[in-house]
Amino acid sequence: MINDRWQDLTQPQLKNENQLENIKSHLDLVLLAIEAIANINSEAILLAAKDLNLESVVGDRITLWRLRSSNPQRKSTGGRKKLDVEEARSLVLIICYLAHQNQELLRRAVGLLEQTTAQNKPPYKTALLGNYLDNFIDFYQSRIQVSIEHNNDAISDLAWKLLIDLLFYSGKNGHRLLWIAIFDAAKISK
Amino acid sequence: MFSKIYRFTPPTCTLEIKGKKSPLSRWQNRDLLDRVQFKLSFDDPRLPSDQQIIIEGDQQDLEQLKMVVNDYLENLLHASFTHKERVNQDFNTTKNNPYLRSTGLVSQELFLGTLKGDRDRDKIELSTTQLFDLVTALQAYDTKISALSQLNQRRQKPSILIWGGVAAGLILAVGIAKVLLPTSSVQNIAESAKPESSTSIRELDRVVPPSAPQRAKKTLQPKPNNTLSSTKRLPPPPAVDTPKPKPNIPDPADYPLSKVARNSGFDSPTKQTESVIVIPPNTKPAASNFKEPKNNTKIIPEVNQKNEIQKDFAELSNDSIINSDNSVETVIKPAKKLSQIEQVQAYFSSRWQPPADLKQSLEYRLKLNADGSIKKVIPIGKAAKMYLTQTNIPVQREKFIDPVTQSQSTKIRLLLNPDGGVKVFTE
Repeated sequence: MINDRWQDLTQPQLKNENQLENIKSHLDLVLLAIEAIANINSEAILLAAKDLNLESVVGDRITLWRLRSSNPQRKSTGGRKKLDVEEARSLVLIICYLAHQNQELLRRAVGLLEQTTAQNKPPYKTALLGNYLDNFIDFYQSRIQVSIEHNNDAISDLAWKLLIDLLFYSGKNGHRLLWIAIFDAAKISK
Repeated sequence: MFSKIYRFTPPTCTLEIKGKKSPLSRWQNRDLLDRVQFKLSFDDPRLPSDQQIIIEGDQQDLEQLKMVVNDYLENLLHASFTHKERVNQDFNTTKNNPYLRSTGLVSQELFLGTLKGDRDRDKIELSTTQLFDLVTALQAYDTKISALSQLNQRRQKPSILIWGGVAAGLILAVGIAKVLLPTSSVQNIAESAKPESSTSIRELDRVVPPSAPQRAKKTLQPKPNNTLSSTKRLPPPPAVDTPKPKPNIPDPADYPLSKVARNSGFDSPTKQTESVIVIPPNTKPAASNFKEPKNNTKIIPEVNQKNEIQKDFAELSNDSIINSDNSVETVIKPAKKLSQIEQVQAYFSSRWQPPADLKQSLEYRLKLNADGSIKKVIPIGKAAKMYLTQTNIPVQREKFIDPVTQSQSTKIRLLLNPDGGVKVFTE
């Protein structure tokens, strides 16, 4: 099954390195979101890599940290590693695997989001969504270079959107959806 | 001819596919369905029955619906990355084609166009979870069709001998089938004990997302055929000889990057700051080195990078000290302060006593006060929460490390391993 999914992720042409930079930051954000909702630590990410036979690409914490630090929007500048296609593919598969494992949780979270929206209540008043938002904002502010446009409201909006996206990424075709999304976004962002 | 029905049943909709199949299809090497019709019921049990809509159509309608949903989904997903509002596409409403439109963060409208169903409503409101279920059902349908066509291709392998041998039997079988099958009724195989179709249904049900705990909270009755036997974890993939399929990996030379990421090092070793010190997992960790940290001794952790090791050794040799008795200590600058990471490392290395029943690493985020004491400890993961009290992390504003300077981070990531090892990173 892993081979089929790997094969699904064919590499579209990238025009320039900016597009690659965008891909790195997008993947890091999605990973950040799944960490925030499911309380996933780097151990779980590495276990997922092992389950998917991707240890040669993401085998230990150091490699994982360096891959994620390759996000140019990260604060830490030391140890940045250039992300290649294999690594992007691996991260996509790992993210979707983790999303699938937590599909029930994601469904519950999105269901809560729907309920609170329908009731005109702030979503963070519920425990699950409140914790998620706290974690997301915490991780985001501590790891990502925060620019002026990234105020708390904008970060919250992003958190909800990514939560919804994760539900779709948890489906059987999730890896393809994420792959297409990051490349589409890279092309649009130039 | 008989009908074959496949049913896909996520929690908030049911997609039924009906097709005609000739009894001779097996011998004709055709497993494909003819004259496919679909019925899509938006039967979320939370909706009153008069609001549950059914739409029906043929294969072309279904393909069109799939396209609409896929286009919408692609837009929705990449909008998170482009930080733009979800753009509703321009819809050509004159042709009366179906389309999806966002009406909010968790809501969208499906305009049915030519797919208008039994209740004469021209649009359906879908929440995000309902949309997800629709996507799931359509994906399951796609998977089934692909599986059927692959089966069909496999069966088309030439087997001349077999054909020759059963030619007479075929003619006989046709005659018997025509006599035995009732002419007017249609056999619904979906519910029968036929292995293929019942296996198909079970297999399809497995792709349905789990929902039992959530639905227990809703008041309405469970749907028939809703045998959701999902598993929480994906089974590990079958072992492969190589971790990655080689043929599909693009040639790095085609890729715009100047360096392929096999450079497993830092971009510029000389700029390596001391904000991160990496300890390879294979080495017997710090515990053995740091059992008795002396004030005079610089603790030199190992790093992966060969350059870094060489740099450290160079430092060492430059900083030897000749004592009064002419003995030479390879001690470096006794007055030099330990780096932030080194101090945290030193603190825990002597204090961390892993509990006997601990099987996994514990990870914590430490937020520091300006005076170097710990402001907040955030356990990451369940195990970290459970074992927090056994970690000896000083949480009462006790002296921890030196006051934080401007260039240093106030956030530290701490890893405590079950073998007694300690790893520290800044964030």
